[in-house]
Amino acid sequence: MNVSPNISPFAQMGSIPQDFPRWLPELLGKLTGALNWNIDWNQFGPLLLVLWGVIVFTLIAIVAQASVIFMVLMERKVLAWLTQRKGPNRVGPWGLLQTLADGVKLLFKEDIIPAGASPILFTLGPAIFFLPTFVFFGLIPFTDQLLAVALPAGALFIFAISSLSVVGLVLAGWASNNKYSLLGGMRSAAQAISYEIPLVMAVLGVVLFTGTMNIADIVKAQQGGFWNWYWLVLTPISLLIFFISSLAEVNRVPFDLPEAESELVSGYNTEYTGMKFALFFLAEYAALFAMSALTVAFFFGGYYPPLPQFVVEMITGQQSASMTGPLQLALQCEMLFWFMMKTYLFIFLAMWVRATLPRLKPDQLMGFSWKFLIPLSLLNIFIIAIQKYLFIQSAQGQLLPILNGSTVMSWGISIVIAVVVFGSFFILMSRLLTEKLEARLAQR
Amino acid sequence: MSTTQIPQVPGVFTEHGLKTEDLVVNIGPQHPSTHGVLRLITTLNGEVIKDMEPVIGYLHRSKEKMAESRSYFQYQPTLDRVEYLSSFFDHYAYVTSIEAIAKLKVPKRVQYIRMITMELNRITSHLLWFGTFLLDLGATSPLFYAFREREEIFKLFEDLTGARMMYNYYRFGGVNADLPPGWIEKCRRVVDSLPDRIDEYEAIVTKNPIILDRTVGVGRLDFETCMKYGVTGPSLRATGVPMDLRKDRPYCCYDEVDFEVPVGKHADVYDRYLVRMAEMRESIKIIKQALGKITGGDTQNIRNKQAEIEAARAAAKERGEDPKAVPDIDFDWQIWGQKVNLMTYKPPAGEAYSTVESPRGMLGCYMISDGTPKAYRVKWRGASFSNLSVLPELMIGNLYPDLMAIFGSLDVILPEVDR
Amino acid sequence: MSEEKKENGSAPASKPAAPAAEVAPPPPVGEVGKALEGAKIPFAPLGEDAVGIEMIDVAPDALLRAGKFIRDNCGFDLLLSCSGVDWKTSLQSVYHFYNTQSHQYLAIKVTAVDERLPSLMPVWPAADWHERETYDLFGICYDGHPNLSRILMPSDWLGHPMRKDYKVDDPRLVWNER
Repeated sequence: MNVSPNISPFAQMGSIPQDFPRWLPELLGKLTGALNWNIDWNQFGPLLLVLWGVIVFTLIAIVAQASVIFMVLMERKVLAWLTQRKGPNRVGPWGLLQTLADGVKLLFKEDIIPAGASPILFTLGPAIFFLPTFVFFGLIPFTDQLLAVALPAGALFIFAISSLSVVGLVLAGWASNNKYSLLGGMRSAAQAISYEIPLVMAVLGVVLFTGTMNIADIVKAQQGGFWNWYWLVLTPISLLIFFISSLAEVNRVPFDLPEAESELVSGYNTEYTGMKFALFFLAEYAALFAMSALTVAFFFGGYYPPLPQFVVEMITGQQSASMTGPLQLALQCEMLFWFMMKTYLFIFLAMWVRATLPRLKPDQLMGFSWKFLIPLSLLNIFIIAIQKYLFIQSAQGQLLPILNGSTVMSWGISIVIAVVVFGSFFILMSRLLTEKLEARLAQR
Repeated sequence: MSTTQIPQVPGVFTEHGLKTEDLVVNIGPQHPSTHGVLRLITTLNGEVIKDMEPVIGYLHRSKEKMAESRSYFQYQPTLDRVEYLSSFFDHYAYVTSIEAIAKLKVPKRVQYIRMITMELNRITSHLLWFGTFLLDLGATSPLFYAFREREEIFKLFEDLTGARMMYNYYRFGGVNADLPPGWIEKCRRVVDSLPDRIDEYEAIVTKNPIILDRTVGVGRLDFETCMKYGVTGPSLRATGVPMDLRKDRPYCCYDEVDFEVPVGKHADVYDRYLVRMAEMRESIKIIKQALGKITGGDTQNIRNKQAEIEAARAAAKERGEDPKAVPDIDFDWQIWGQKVNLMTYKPPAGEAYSTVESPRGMLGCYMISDGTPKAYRVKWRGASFSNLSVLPELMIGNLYPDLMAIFGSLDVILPEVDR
Repeated sequence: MSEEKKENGSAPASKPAAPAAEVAPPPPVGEVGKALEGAKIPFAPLGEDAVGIEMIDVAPDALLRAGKFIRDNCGFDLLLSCSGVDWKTSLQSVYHFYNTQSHQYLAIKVTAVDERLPSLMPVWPAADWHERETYDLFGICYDGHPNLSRILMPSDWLGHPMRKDYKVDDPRLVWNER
């Protein structure tokens, strides 16, 4: 799709992705040149790739931590705003340092391992829960360069890793020697298994359409204005399924059953104190951030702006691919800006949902996934397959060239099919649901 | 099927498959949704409740014993702590029992003041119930919305009694002080704003599909069970029986105002919610009428009239006429409570059982006086006490999350249970 | 009929709470009293209390019969409360009832014999917790109650705190120092 025109010898090395920073060997060459060492850094390509990945991941992980700290504050402020309160406003200007103060407090708290708990597993639980959520950050393309590793099977890898974090929750729940924790851990296991399926199936549509599992490539395929983003192209249903399931994946309201505070006190983290509790806390918010970032990458155009061109491009009149030096830096900043804006939009949505909805019951939670979301996502894949077929037929790689008659035709047909199939599905479901509700209201 | 395929590992497999155990969860005494210190020994099979036993008494402060060791008036402030969400009702039951024994006549204006304050208190109590009930269901915002309106009413109470929750306002035969000037207008403004706010709550909650799923058909409590366990109040009215002391045995001036007793139909958690919401609207109706009908109107009117009379008397004296000829205010407005020595107040010997329709049901005060300044025996019939005893009956067979919905819908206040 | 009443009513008549019975002629028989007379259940009318609630004194052995009768025939379907009263010479249990149809109250007083009374639980299951409370605070044992244990006080408490002769500073109660 967006193949870069200038081909460096480095970029031709088979497995190294396009978006690897080509300026890195040059920069290193210049640096070593200043020291009168003549090293051609291009020959260390794979090594540099690893080095770059480590550097970026460390950077992103640190930024993500800071971001989580900000998110906690944001959540409290947003919830306060939605419930007509002021929120934290004592520590620092506008309460900005509140979370830091909380973090310091947690750091100094006594680290209690309850009597009867299994000390090793009790300690392992938060660690296992914490790690996968941070692995996410290595795979998220914040910009086309700020990406630790562009795995060819990134989409698959992310979901494989995300299901690992449930092990941590179950372990924490079981090792705490507390019945609330145990119930919370069991609930979280059941919930994660049920909601992983619609989550993956929603992404399956995207993968089917783009033909790649590389998240960076999926983002690139959405270039060119918000009408090319997949939430519109692949019907909003995919985004809906993904958003709902991701809320369940990260245990947010209305799916926060594993830590339902009115029932299970605090669920799997009831017995945790100090930094172990803080790890749970951090990991939960990091997971929310990662899930929102993935939503953006898969469905909301990643780092692309809503209009076809970057602002930097509009101002300078240059193509983004040919930018170098400070201009490239400005471009990267703009990409990061768009990505973060969209991510925080989804984070805000999750907070909004939290302020609005009550909690489901476990049986309703299961029913909603197995009886509604999974059939819907199967239907969704079916529709996307039809769309894909039509697009192959029109044999244009690009998504919306309005003037191309055959593509307009294929668009029209796929929209009609989508409307017919989803319309009948929704009518069927709503009738079923209203009948069920009426029956319940009548029976009771 | 005599020989089983399952390997016989002792302790792990039984002839029916894997061995399972019931989980005994000790909910409380410290738990986020037990509304105080209540302990529920719950036996769970998975998430299904098999057995439950409530254990109470963690908040027992021997209020009844305290009554026997202090004078009638000294005992009164401690009453606020019995049922701290609607303490006007405790005071009313206490004060009316003494008034009945001592045959004190209560002025009309006082009765209106008592009615207005009690209905306002009913609204605050139901508002708090609304917030905490939805908090039990996992919704956080309604609590804050409910507190917003509660705060408005508390400001009224603060103007009136000097306290936001612990009022200690009623006196034997009267109230502590008259309404502050302008209070009626202020109260009217607050009450006028309430229906819109309640509409707002209903917009968030009443048709919310998750709420419907969690409450409709859950925790059904029929009339026979209510009678069996002595359940009263909105939980009883949700069965469709309009049993309300305000209508059945009107006290204060409830026979002079027009209101309805909202009833439910299906006696489930959802109907209890609907009944309470409707009750708030009825309370607003009562308050609006009472504010219009209150004898003497605003305090400023009475003061003006008194000043006029005094001026007329002074003028009459100057003219050399008898100042007594100028008539006094022609309606019963006086606040009798200020006129006796409260600390040594002694009602005659006798006994009375006075009841009042509190937000939680029938609140009773059984008072035995032996003619000394201390009560011989005071017995409180807290509505929550009986309402709580029905809990195991409702709970068995339901899911664990239903526990919170059902327990929340009963609106139990633990200080009233334990006293 | 009036002679019977006098005989039965002689026991509670000397109590301070029923001052009318001491000097005045026997109190009039109320509605429920008349119905009980018709059913030949022994009782003694105690007149009305200050609020106008009809009070009846029933002997312990007639309590269950009277209870069943007023529930089934007089419509007193709601047991409001069971209050213990310590008259220093005897312990009394006062049941208050409410009729949800006619909105009438009724009080039944039963004086315990040897601190024992029959339980009303077979007739009103609501009596369960109320009788446990009265047992806890007054030490009246209710025969036939399935689970007569302490309810408000800690299970290892000594004595029954609402009794008039209860010592608050009992040295055996070291609850606070535990």
